[in-house]
Amino acid sequence: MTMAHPQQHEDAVALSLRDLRAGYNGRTVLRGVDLDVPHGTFGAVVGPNGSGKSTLVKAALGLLAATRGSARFFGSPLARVRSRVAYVPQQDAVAEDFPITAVQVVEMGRYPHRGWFRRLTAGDDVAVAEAMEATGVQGLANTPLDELSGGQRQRVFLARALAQRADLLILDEPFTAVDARTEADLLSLLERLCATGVTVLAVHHDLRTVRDRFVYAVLLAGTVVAEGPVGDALSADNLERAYGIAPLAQPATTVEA
Amino acid sequence: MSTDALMIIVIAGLLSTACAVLGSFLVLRRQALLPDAVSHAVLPGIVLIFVLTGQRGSMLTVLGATAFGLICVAGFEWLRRTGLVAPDAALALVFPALFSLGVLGIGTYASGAHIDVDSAIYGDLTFAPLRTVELAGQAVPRSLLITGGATVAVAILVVVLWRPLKASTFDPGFAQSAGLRGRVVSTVLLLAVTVVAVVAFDSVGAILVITFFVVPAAAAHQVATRLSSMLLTAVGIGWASSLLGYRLAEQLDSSIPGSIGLASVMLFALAWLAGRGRGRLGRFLHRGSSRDTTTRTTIPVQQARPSESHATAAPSRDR
Repeated sequence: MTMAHPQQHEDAVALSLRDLRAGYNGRTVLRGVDLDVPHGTFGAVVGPNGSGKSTLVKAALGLLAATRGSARFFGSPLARVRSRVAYVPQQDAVAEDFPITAVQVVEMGRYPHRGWFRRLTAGDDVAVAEAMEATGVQGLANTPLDELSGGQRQRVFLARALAQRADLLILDEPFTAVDARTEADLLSLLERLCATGVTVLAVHHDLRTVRDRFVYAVLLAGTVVAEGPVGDALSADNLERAYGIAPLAQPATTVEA
Repeated sequence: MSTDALMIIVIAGLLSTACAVLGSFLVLRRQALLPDAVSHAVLPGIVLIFVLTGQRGSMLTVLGATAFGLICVAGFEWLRRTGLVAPDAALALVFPALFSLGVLGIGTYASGAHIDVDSAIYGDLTFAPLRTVELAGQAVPRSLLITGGATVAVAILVVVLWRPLKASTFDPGFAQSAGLRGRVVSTVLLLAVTVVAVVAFDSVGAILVITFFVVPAAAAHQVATRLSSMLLTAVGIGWASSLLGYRLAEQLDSSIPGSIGLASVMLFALAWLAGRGRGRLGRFLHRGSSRDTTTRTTIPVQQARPSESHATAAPSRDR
């Protein structure tokens, strides 16, 4: 089914995908993806290994050329609303030995507002400082990134996204290589962020966390199996269709993605 | 020090400036072998121009060399993007093919000509002060103009593209999503590397091009904690290597580019020993770095738009 993008309520839908198809090296991973992520929700993208979770995010953001279909953010192509969309990539997508301090990473969050040349303003500095305080890394401002632990690094990258003051935060597996305390801290931080009207969409593999903490979920298995409020989207039937088993029925099991 | 000696050092210093700046980005992007590939791939271009025009060492030669350098880089990029082979294998497929073509070309069409292997391998830096062109009535070494031009061009390029270069080298996905045109910038970087590698090939020969690009950058990487300081340190190491290398060549009565290469490797060893916190002696020297200073997340999000009040903040400082 292919519909037009919902132009009329552009502020009600943060991300809208229509008939999206994408993959790698000629191999299609995702096809026929139609999706409307409501603005202001706390959302997760879940699904089994190879179900296309990261592919969905990358194709939507144009990091991977979609072979078909389209993506709109707040009713517009990404190029027109870049500063409203913040992206936190997977940790291993970042050059880990790059010479850079924590505060310099966070400052990059202001680049979408300042472009290639304009100097960062005092207002930018405030956004950077507040973001670092919110994620608890203000004391690490001048520490080189490669001296930080995995959890500290992820706090820095989340601070970069916060400093952008975007309306939609897209995170790709934000809690891998992160200790339990950091995960709990960052989750509640994201929840509070949502309470201020920001949309969060996180690729996440831990179904339990998603069911317990998230509001909205997209369940993928090469295409959208279900989307909607977590309780409905992650029903036992839907999970069985996506995973071929009933993952949440097994006690204390994390289904790896 | 004679004028000629000074001139050689200045040319080598300018060359290492351009190479070290671009090389720093290549080292961080895991593309350090690219200049080596380009410096080999240019050979058929040089032979082709010789066969067609009988010239060697002219501007036409530089153009022919650059053309084949671009073919090498374009072939590499294309192979890499097909995903058929890993990036390093893609490079290893492209440049030996072109280099072999050049070797065959010399054997078949230019064996009697004076395209001597020595100059292709070691370059002509020693004689650089002697090959001059007229500029405003003055005899100026051609290499000085070329390396000076390359250095200025690279400096302008890096200043203009600073944010996209930095962001796309550090975090390509973020750079692209932030509208910093990571792919375009990567292509521009490859083009600049090609041109500078051709310039370097002319002066220091095929083998040492890679030294000028990579060694000062890798040395600076050992000590720098910021990209800007890495670039400046790399340039400084390049100039120090040029000076030390020239002195060394005088002492040993040996190849100048070779001595410069050796000097830069010695400086790398020093930087490695003094490097910060990545093991080695540096770990001993730079102990007590900041671990475990993450402060607990206590402040509710103030991310909100500037118009919103911060009154929602209710810190509960539990340590």
